[in-house]
Amino acid sequence: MPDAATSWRSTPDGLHWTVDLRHDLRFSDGVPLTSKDVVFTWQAALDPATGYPYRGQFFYIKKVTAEGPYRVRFDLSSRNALFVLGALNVPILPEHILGRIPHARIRATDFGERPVGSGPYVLESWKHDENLTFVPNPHWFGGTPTVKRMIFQIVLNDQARTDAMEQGVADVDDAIPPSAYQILQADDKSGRANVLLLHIPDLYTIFIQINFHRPGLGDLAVRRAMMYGWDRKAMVDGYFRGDEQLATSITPAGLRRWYDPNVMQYPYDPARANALLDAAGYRRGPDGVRRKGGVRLAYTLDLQGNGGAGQDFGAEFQADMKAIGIAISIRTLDYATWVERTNAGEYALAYGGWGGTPDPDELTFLGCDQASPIGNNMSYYCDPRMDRVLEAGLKTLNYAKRRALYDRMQQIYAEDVPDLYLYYDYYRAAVSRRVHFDVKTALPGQYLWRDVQHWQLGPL
Amino acid sequence: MTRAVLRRFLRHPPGVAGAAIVIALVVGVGVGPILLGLSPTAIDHAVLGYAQPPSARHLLGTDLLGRDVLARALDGGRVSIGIGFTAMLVAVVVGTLYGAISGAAGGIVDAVMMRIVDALFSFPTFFLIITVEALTNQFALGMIVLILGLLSWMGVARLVRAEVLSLRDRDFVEAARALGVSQARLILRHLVPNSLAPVIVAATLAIGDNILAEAGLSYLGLGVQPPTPSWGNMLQDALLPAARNSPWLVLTPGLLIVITLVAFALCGDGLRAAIDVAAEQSAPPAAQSEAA
Amino acid sequence: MAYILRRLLGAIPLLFIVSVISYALMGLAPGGPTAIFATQTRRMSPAARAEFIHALGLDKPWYVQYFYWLKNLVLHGSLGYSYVDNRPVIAKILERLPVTIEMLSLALLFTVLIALPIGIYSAIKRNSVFDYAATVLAFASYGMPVFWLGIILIDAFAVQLRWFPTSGANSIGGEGNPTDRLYHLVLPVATLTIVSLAAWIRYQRGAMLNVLGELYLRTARAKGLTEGRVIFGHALRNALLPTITLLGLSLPGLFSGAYFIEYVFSIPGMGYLGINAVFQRDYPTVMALTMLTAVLVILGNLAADVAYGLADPRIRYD
Repeated sequence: MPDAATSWRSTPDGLHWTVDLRHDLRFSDGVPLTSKDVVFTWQAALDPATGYPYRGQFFYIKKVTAEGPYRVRFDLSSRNALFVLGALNVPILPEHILGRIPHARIRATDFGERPVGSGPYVLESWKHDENLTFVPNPHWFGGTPTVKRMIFQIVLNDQARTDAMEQGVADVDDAIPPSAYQILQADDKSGRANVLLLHIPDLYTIFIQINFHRPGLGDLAVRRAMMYGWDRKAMVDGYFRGDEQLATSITPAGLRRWYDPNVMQYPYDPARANALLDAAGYRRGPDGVRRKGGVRLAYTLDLQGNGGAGQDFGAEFQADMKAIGIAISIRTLDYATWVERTNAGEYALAYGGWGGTPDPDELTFLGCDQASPIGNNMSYYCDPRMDRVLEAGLKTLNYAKRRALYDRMQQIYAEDVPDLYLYYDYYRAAVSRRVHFDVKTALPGQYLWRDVQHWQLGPL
Repeated sequence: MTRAVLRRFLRHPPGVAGAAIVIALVVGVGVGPILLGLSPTAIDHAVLGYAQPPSARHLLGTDLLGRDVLARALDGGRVSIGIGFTAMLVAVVVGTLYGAISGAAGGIVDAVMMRIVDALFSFPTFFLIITVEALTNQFALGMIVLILGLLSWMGVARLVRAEVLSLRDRDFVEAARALGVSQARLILRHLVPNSLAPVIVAATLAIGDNILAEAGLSYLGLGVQPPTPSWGNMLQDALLPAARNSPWLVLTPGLLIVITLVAFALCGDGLRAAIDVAAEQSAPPAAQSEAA
Repeated sequence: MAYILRRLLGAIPLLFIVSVISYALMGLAPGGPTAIFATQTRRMSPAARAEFIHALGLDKPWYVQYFYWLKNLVLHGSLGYSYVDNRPVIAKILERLPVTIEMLSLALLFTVLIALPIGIYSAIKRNSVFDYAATVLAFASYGMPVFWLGIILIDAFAVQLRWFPTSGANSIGGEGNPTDRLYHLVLPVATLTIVSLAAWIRYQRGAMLNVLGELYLRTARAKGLTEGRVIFGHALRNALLPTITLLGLSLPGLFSGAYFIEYVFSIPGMGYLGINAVFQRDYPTVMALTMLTAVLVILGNLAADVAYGLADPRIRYD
């Protein structure tokens, strides 16, 4: 929305924001975009009946009202540092199309097939599982984008996408896997392909999620032992070919203004892991698995997808854990089931990740009151120290003060080990050299498309 | 008669070759791992992520986690062949009973039962197998065996029914009926044992088919779940992008599957040659066209 | 004629049984048939959902449900909506049907063209080196897992030699170009052909051997000179007839193989849709595809039977 908004300001207490809209905004069907569309969007978003998946993040927004056709007022229940970044980036829905539909039915309409938006491009056609074609939006306020036609081709086969880039048939390959990146890198050097490669630290932390409700996993000694007993560095350097960055805490290195590496470290040390578990009273049984009281350290690791890389990963983790007396069995679930189970707490350990926002806040993920399904705390982790830091962090608007708070957050996270954090990922993309665009606009969080209206096509 | 069959079988070189390979494979996967003393699960942290080519220490190289490929291939062979064989047993038991009952009952019951078999035959078997696996999410070895077996018994049923139909009007059956033998006893004690000849051939080939099905199933992640190795899920590993320049990973399980299947097929062919001749001497021609 | 009619009528109970089996399979899915054909209820509130289910009669016992489902199918041609994108399953499947049929037909054509001569020659030169070699090759091709062969061919001919594309049915921007399509289908069709050869070679060899056996007996009895070529032609025709029945028998396997190959080569056909649907647990699509394939197989068998009836003079006088 910062594109659509000309200015925004808040009262000194940070509880009331006023946002001014441009006067020349139009939807792709020509209807003007005004404050009533913004109000409608927020009414729908904040209504639980709609089922907006990110509703939890906007818990602090109390009311949204229109003050004239080009001004919107947001009333917050508490100050929040994420208002501009989060709330003002929510896309605006057309009230004249969706206004009459009951909120519960909005997601069931086919608006998604023929969306009406107000950006530089509009969807011309969507051939399912094949391609989507975008053409310039004639009513966009910014004029006419340079590139007159954009076709997004859906190619599920990784190799085919790489081939297309090599042959010059495709211009952009977005979010490519490390293997494809390596191939194209070699190609560019050898002259076989003419592509510009982007390799930017991304905003996701990949980890093995822990369910604190499972016997044994709520015990700090067990979690720390797992960190010491898991050869994470060898996995990142070897298995992931050194193309990801070993994680030190929850905040990814890509968030350069916030990342703090000065936290408790967990070098690979199985002897120490064993000592920790021994000291905590977990004795090995005849089957080699540790137990204490009625608790046996045996867990299932849920992997996503249909085998492949995940299996090897699981096997390595399983072997490392076996060496310290923890039995791991591996289960692979299809993506939808994996999400369902982890959201419902029906898991012990799950290999996944979190992140994506260009802000270090993690309240919905780590807060005591944010247990899933209310928030996104799927671990059921709770530490009052963490809560204090996170809540203060959201209410603080001064960078230096916030920085100190989030440094503390990263330290507490490393001490508590709510998840077995593994690496920070990279964003990789390949763009044909015939596309001229400003590389500096490809920042984490917005990647290539931030400035798409200014792209130029030229010779290679 | 068994001795005559055996003699005829031994005169057929391809069949003998097949049988020899099968025996070698079974012995290999059975005791090989113990004799070799190599661990299929030992992960080598030093080479994580880089599959090692064959060397003196690892005769068939290692996979992406540094595990010895030969050891895994033998272990996997035990699983794959084991599943293939056991699933065949399930199919044979179910199919034989079904076919015998259908043939012995005759009339409408027979017609309906055979129509059901025809309908089941129309489904694309492998796709049906992965569908059932995905629907039930049961990947324990026993369940895989059950699912494979329960979706492949139809061929055996047809064969047994054909045999039973031809036996039904024979003298010894008439005699048994005259003596007041119950239907069930008739089926189990007399009809089934005499129908088994073509079933043995079909069973041999079925083992091969099951191994192929397991390979495809495990490759898709819907079969044997790692870390338990099977030839199918070794192929899953072998086809990751990181395993790109490691042909030994793809060729080992694949060639083993091909060799195993060729062996079973040659064996089955030899058995068919040996048994058919014997069958020709005792069954009327009508039975043959039904079986074809 | 009566033969053809009888065959047609015989297919009807088959189709009925196929529908019952498919319906029963849906029972294996979590939520059962109700969940599958009430796809739209997934995003509804519990009250709205109960109402919807009652309106469709899905809360009745399973045998009643079956008839509702059948009615829905026959009257509206509807097989439910996909979990993935809520589009009618039938539409998604029909979009993909042409590519699969194309691939299957080509593979079948080449299989027959290659396998029949080899089978026949093997029978004539029984137990010769050619026969043994053909046998081993046939078994080897049968023993190769179809996906393994596909991947090896891709690696050899597409990645290393760059003679063919690695995947897809068209180049980006090449839709509608038949040459481009054929170029993309070379490797997949080759894979499917190779694994199908074995059955046809062996079957043809067996059929030819049968006929030759009869032939020698007859000529021995005739004790006269016979025109080699005339008898040979007669033998050939009789040997080819049973092959038509193999066509019908091999259809299920051919479909299974084609589906797997589509997945390996990323060819947007029914199999690609089906296998991805299995991974996504898109039960409505999976069930519909399974059932439709069985129907196609039955129709294929019917066509083969009719062809056999027309070709075999013995049957005409029935």
